[in-house]
Amino acid sequence: MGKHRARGILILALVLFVVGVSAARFAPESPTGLEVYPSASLTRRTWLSQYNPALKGTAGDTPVLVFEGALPGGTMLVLGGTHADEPAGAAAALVIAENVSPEQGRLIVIPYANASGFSHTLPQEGHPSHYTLDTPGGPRRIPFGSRLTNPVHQWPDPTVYIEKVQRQKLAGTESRNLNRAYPGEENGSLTAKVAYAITRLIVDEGVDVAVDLHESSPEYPVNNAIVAHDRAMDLAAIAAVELEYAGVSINIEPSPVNLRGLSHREWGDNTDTLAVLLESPNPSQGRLRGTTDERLVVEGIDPMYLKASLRGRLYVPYTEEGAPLAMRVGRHVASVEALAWSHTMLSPDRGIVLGGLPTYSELLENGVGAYLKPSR
Amino acid sequence: MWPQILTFLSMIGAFLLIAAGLRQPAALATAGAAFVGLAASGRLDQLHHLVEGAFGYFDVLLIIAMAMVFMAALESAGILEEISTRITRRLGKRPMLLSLASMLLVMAPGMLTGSSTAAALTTGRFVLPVLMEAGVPLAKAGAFVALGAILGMVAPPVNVPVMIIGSGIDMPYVGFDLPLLAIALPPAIAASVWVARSVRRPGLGGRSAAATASEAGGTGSATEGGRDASSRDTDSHDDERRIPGFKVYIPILVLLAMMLAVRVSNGSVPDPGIPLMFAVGAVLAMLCGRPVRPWEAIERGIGLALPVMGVLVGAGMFVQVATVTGVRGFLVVSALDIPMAWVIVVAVLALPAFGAISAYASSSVMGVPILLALLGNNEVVTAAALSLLAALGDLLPPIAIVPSLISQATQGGAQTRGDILRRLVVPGVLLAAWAYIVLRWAPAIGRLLS
Repeated sequence: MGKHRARGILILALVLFVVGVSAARFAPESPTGLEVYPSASLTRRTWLSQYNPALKGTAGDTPVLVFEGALPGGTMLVLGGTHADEPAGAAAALVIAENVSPEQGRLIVIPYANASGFSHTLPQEGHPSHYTLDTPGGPRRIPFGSRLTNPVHQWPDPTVYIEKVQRQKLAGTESRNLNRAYPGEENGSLTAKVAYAITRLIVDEGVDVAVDLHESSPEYPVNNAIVAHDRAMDLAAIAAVELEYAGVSINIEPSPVNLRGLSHREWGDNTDTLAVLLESPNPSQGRLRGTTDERLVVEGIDPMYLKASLRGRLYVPYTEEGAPLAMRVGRHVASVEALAWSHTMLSPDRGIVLGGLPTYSELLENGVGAYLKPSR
Repeated sequence: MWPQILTFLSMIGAFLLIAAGLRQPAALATAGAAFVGLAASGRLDQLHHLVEGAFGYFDVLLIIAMAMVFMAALESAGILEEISTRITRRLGKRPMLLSLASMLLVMAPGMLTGSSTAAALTTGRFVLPVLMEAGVPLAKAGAFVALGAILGMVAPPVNVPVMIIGSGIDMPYVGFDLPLLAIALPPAIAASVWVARSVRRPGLGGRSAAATASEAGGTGSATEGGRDASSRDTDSHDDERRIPGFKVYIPILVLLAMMLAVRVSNGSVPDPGIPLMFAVGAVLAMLCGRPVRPWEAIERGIGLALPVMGVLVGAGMFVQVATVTGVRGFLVVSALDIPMAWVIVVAVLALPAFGAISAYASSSVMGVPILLALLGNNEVVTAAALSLLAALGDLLPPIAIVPSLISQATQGGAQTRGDILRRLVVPGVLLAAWAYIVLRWAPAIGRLLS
């Protein structure tokens, strides 16, 4: 009995030690701690709760940045951080927000669309909580999170998640996936409230083009792609041609009609906007990845993916140079600019001309940090 | 040489040393192996991975804990004995009908929740003493319940592994009902025939399931289906212990009704979650049978659940460390480092092997890459077959969660668990072969079903 008790006390002490030294890692971050230092072109800074007051004071509220050009025109929405484990999405939105200088029309940027997702990482994924980039003014620490809302903020999951449009069944955890929650519910779950607010923003602000920035694992077939709603196919096609000129090869994928709750489908079906979603290859996300750390996030070099590529298991080119964050952010930034240009071609009276953004080759050459401000 | 190999070997070595060498529980062995993995890869400054990984199966832990409390409440209230006795009296003379009804009964909670645990610990717990009373040895009855539990998990309308695989490739859970039924039904019927052949005492159907229920739940002696002659002297005493009326059915009927309501309402009835459903069932069990001391039932249920919960906490740490150190990726890439024609063979081997840690984890880690490798092979039928292979992992050591829970619930210990596992070898191999056939001819099966 005494031996058992001693063992019990020893194990308890070990558990308390491990929990104690780990506690700081799990300290919650408030949405106001999500850093973004907008460019001088910022004309309005608000919060997502402006479009759904039910979000006010919750972990789902997140900054919304509005940039306006001198000339009147159309409005573009750029959404980063829908999935916080797809870092190029948020990083590209930050690069755009911190450098853009619109000449015509308006640009609305939400860098951390699912703010709650940035407050945790998924168990068993082994992801870092942040990654650091060198900027001219010093290091910039950018949060890395989960594709799902933090269960601390939305729990429990239903056994089966039934999305609201066609009542399709999905795994219960998908109830915390912002990109399965559109068009959202004003007073639904936290994730549904965020989705509702974004849909409301698109309607209230008269958004002409809405872009959702994502990444997918290199073994996933929809990659290096623009996923476009039916009405946005022309927009995507012209943008793809423009991107080819810039040295960025991109696929166009039609938004599946039978897959509901996704941004490109529900924004397109429920609002007047031209909805697209961008994908770039993210080695820190897939199931084939090797050692998982900040280095993999930033450099994107992984011997496991190289081996899988040599065996023809991947849907994107993958060499020893990997898929660095700079390349993925460069693709997204170039694609956003090309989509704005394409929209201006198609609707000159609602033109959107974005200035001040680094080019694809500049991002490849100088890295992402060169276009961000340091952490304060 | 890949550094991941050394890390993996050090983790496996630590597990064997702690479990077999130091004779410590599997929970400590898996947690210790995770710690060694961190140390071997030079990550001792990242102990937070142990904490994060421990939460990997948090929802499953809650289900197991509350299901065990429900089961303990049913037992303490005498409801388990009573219902088992009634089923035996009603169906004891018809072996085939008895085994088919038992299979359906075991599968039902799994079909409604997608959880083999829920099936094994609810209706599975009723069926076990019934089969034993009918002369089926405990190990075979346990194996039958375990098979029913995983087939229920696979059968429609709710198959969580398919949903997990589907979410990995953006495939909606649409059009799966028929393929899943076609995959789950033949093995379910085969298992019923297998057990019906062991029913040796048709017509006994008397008081006896009560005593057998006690054996199955109380003594821990793996009685291999028989009661000694002296136990028959207790017949009259057992009759005195009978609980009259319909009320004994209320806890299980309310539980199944809650599960069913959530499913058929298609979202209009809020899902309270399986743990809360079990909690409601446990309260009803305490009210509908003999008087129960609630705290004692809860304590007993949690006590029974703790060893399995501990293993899952340790397994969560193990998987997290395997992921962060690259061991997981190394294993997945190595498994797929084969010619395309062999992918199905790898699926048949790797999915159950990964499923031995968790069927859900296997669906995500192995199921998604394998389905991606088999694109064009009728994805719906393929995903359905992969879910059967992932579910098969719930029967495999080291965790063997379903057999472990069954032996834990019967207080049979390691001996019973080992006996059940041995009985599962042939059915397990046949299930894997069945999955291979479905995968190999998925396009033709898909055309046949469409």
